[in-house]
Amino acid sequence: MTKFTKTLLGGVTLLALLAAGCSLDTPDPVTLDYTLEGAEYFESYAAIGNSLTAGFMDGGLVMNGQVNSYPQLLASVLGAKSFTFQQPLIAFPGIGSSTPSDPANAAGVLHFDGAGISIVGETPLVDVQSNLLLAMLYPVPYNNLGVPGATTWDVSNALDSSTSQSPGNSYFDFILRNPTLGNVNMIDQAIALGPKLVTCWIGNNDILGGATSGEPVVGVSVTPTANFTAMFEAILDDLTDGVEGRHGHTPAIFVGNVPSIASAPYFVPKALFDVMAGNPIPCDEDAVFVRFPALSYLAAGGPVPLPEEWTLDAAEVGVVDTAVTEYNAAIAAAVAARDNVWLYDANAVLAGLDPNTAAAHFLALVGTVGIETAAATTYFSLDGIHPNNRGYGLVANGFIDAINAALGTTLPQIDIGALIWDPTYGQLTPPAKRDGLITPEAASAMDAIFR
Amino acid sequence: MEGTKRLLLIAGVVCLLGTGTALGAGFNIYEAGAKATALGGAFTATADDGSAIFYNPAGLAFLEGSALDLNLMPVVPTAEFTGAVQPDGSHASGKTVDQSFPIPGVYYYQNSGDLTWGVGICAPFGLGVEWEDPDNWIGRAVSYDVDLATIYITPALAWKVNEDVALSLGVDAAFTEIELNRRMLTDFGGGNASYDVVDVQIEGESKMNFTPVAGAMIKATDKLTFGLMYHHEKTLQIDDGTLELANIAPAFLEANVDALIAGLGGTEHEGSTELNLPHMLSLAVAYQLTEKARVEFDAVHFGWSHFEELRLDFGNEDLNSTIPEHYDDVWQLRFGAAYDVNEKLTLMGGYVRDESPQPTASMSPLLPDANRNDYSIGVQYRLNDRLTLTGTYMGVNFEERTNVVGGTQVVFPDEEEEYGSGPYPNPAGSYDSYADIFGIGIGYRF
Repeated sequence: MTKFTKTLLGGVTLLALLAAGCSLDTPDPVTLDYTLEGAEYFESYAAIGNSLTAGFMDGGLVMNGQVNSYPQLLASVLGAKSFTFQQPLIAFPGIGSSTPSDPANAAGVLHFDGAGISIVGETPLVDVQSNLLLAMLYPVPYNNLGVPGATTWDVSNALDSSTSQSPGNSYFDFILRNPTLGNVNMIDQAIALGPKLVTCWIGNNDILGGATSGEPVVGVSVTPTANFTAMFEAILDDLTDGVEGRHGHTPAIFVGNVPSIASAPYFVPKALFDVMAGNPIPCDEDAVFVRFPALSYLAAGGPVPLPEEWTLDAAEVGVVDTAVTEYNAAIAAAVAARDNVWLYDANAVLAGLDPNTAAAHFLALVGTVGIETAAATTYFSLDGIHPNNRGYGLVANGFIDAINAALGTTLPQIDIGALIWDPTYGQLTPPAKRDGLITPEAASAMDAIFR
Repeated sequence: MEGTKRLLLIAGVVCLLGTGTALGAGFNIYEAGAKATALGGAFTATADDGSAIFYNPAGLAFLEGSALDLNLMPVVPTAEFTGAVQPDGSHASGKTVDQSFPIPGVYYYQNSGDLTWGVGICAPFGLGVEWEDPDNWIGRAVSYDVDLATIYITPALAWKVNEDVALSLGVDAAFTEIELNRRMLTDFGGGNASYDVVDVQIEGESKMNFTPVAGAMIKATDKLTFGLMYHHEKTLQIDDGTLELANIAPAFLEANVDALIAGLGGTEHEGSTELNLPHMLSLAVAYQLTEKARVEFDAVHFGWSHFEELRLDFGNEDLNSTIPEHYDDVWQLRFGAAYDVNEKLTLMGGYVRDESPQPTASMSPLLPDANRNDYSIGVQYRLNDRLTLTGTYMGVNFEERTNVVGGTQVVFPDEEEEYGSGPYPNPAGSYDSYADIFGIGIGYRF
């Protein structure tokens, strides 16, 4: 063999050895960095809360209002990333908390019918699921998990109406959709979505249940502050731990605090109530606020003096105000103690609304300025407690400001002027003889909202 | 009559092997003949058997008589995946099932004077990646089993211009078959429950497509030969593809998923797609070192930038999907050496440096490609004047590759637009692959 052929054979042998030496190695795992910055927080969003989060408006849930819920408005400006934001949309005439004319029906939302407030329509109960619940089959939890009537306790505990603090409140059933979704509560449904941004506005019903009954009693119809504080902090920590543990990133959580009842036109100052009623109304107790539906009670010939469940006296207002103050202090402390939680001071914003315009009830405006102007003036819907489209725009802008300040982002504001609220729902009927400004059904709707 | 029999034989072989698929550079399979494979595919300036029809049909011009070359190259690929570390500290892993894909190379040529005609059947593009345990494989939303096979049927005519120069032209008549199996998953609140709800099977077969192939061979000196091969790029049109949706949801979700499928328009859908294949251009030089030893170097250019995306169009926005690919053109470097021990026995070896055309973001359970170093050895034995036997082995050694760079998964802008900073359906993690290629060739001179 020549030297060359030896080299060549050697080369071939070497190649054979090299080939034999190559094999499959199981790769070592690489690590991912889960830290989020700025606009990355806007890629997925879940909203936790009650009726205020659900987009509850005019005494019920209906698409017309839901599409203007503050979480939906917020999602719309979170922008370019095309994650979907799903809500439990309900078709017209919606599902209200009113007493329907026929027990086989579900009442729709309230509307202004030209003379007063009435139910805009009803749906036979058997048709509710097929006709009204538009997003029932959406196979993952809704991004907007707000359940009308939910208390702070319900967020961590309720699986359906029967396990909630308001048994019979079917909103729990068709929003949480258990057992289909695996019998999991609102927090776990939010965690499952892997949200990078979370809004949480809860606590209102822990007080309102008492306030709207006219008899707020701590430990009975008002959640004691210590309990509220513990439950509220648990919500924040469970959310954070759950999302971190399951998805690896730390969510940014923005919480709203609890507005004072004085901000809502549902609670009418006694002097204003007397003006609206046309004369001074004697009351069983020394009323500070009269609940708005008392107008209907009087118009229907209800006896005076006005029974005490229609009014809040100074002591009762004190109970409610104390609770609001203490809750908000607890919320502020919980926010301050956590790096990933920031506050939207809803209480301050709503308290700043002018009671004669932005915080006036539609009915108190419509007689003088007409439907369109009244609708474009007030921030509250016909039920007097829940914002209308404009009010939810205001709330969304509050969250947007808080988000921009906390994350250094530049989300644009919602143009509230472009949000049109139609309290007639396009169903304006000629004025007819009425017993009062609010039909008995509508009045009971307002009463039932928080039960 | 004899010719008819031969064609029938060829057809029979194709039927046997026609759906063979494998793993290749991108998804190229350059192993079209046993001898060429033994030489690391550096064969364009040699091209002295029937597989010249693929490697350089001009080589046919210097062959005599007529011959049938049958080659079978079983490819045995394996791939492993290790997922990125999850928030809870765990990581996924996956492995492909044991599979072997017999790649065919069937060639017949006949010389008459200065002209030689030939026809060949090979499968230069293919892919077969099936992951174990499809119910739990982390990448099942992208793919748990994909098969892609192309068959090139190439008639070619070679013209010996003079004793040193030959030119050739031919036609690559090609079609492809694609099958893709994946899952739709959904994530139902609470705990860590996540369910497979729909099994998706996509299948399609393309129409026949015709593009030119060309070759040239120049014997510059007694020792130095230059070769050139060119196969044109292809766009294979699949018009009668099918998509089948099967409800595999757990009982409590069955009704929901039935409604979802009904909302999508039912379980059966028809659709279309296009498969773009790159051109192949080989520039080769061979040098006869001694009477017995010969070496060759080929630089092969693949026009993979033609493989932009795989658009699956089912005329339904919720079912349509576009798999972004955005491959890059690449040069492969191929080295081969042969040594004639005696008149009957030849020993061969080869090495291939194969840069992946696949961008990091496109690396997925469909095809986890990477740069490769291939090593080949082979032996050829001439039993008599008519019969030649060839055996070869090639080891295809992929470099380990990850789609996580600096703690972030590399994705295409479209995916970032759709999914933000993640998580993405395409799992984050690292792949390593290896393939054994065995080859046998039987050449028969008539």
